[in-house]
Amino acid sequence: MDALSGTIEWLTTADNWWGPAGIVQRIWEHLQYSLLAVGLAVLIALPAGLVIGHTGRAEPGAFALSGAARAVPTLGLLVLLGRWYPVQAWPVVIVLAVLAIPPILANTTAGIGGVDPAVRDAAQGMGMTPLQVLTRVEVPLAAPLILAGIRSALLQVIATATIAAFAGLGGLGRFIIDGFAVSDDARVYGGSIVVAVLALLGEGLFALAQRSVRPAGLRRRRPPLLPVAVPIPPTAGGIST
Amino acid sequence: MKRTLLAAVAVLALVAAACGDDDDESAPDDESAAGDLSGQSLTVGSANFPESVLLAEIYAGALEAQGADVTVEANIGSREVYYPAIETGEIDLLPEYTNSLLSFVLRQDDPEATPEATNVDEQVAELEEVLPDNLTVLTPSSAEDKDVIVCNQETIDEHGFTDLSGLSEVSNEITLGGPPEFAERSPFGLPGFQEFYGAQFAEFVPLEIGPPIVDALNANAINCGNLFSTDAAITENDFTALEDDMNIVPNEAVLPLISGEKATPEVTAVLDEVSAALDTEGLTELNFQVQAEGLAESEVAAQWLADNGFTE
Repeated sequence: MDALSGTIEWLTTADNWWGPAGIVQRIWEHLQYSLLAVGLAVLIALPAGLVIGHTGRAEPGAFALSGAARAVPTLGLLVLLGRWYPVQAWPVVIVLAVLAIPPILANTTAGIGGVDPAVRDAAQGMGMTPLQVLTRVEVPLAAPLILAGIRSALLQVIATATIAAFAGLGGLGRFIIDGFAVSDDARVYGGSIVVAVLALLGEGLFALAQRSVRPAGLRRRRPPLLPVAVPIPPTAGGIST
Repeated sequence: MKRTLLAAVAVLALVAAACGDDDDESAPDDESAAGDLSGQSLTVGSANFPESVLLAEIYAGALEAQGADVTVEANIGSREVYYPAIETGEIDLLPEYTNSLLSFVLRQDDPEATPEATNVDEQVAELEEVLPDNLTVLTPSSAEDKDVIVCNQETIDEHGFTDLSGLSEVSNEITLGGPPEFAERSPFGLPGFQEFYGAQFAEFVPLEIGPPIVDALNANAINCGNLFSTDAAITENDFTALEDDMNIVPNEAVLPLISGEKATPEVTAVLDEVSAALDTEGLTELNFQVQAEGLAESEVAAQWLADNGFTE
């Protein structure tokens, strides 16, 4: 069968969408792994990034760590953890979190650390405590960059969560691996398309959310269509104008 | 490169054989203990996985013990690679598996063809029909390397079944692991299990055959799973292989594939004795020694030959 027409047929067959092994169920599983992983990564990387950015200590270390963590082979780590804890979801969540931590950590550190020192001084001059400076000045100014980091992490994680299928679990990777095992190319392509669309949808929704949290002073520019590549220390230039 | 090497080996073997014949004529055989095959030369090949190498070493050792001049060409490759070598006479003898060999030979003419035969006797009969004239198979052994469902000790202790019918009776409490294609193929797959055994498993976990299934069985993440019957992991981890009492898996008996002109009555007699002494359990144990204990195939083969009286 022609690959394109076969794939379209697979995607438009109602039976493939419903039921315990249907696309809808697989999307739900896929989102669960992805959101848990990004949630875990936020819990770890966000506080770390805030502290490092605010104090300015260990900043080069944080960037180096973020860079090194990107080199961790996700599938290799999953195979390793899977040998000890077979057919469990948490090894998958952990390896995906490892994937999600670098962009969140790097963007948070860069965002907070890059706040204009003059702004920080002014806040202190007004009598703000260090915690108030962080929560009322630095976080709002860094919010777009922090969110861009989370958004980039989410995109990467959704696109990669197909590896859950290697561990005998569900998610959209099932269509790719099972389709390959029985030489059903339409299923492999169809599953891949659903993953890509899901990742881009998540990306789009996040972009909208991101726009709504931009500080008033920065709101004139639209958020970039693609996640901001990091580290780009922001200059918070919008403030001074 | 490999071809050239094989050809060279074959030529040497022929020369050696010719010399051997001369010796026989000039000095009649009087060493009856190990003289039956003196003057006969064979090149024994194997596929590129440990069990095949092991079997090739066993064939080679048994023939050598009877005085044959044997060369071993181990690890030649997959069937696609070694079959042409035995077809053209570069290799004389190979360990084979009934269903796999039959399927392969049938596909040579028709890519869609599948064997009709499922039990060993029918398979051997069909093989003799479809093999080229210069090749033949000898008496199969009872050793089989085929798809099998094994269960971990906890599951066997709890339910006590020994065959697939017993498993199927409690299948709604069983989590089964198998390769992804198992979910969709028949007869050896979920649809086949439902059709022939009436089994409906509580859950199916798609995992690759080998370490992933073994790990999942050990962690009791699955109760039973699909492995190959001579996998050393079965012995190593005290898994129980269930009997396929409805015979839905085609037999995969180990048997020698040999070039017709080398299958003299004397050679045939020796290989028949080897096949008679091989069984699935024994072969699994030998695989265990190679895979888990790290012994060389030739070493394990030599020990087996000594234990079974083929050598001193």
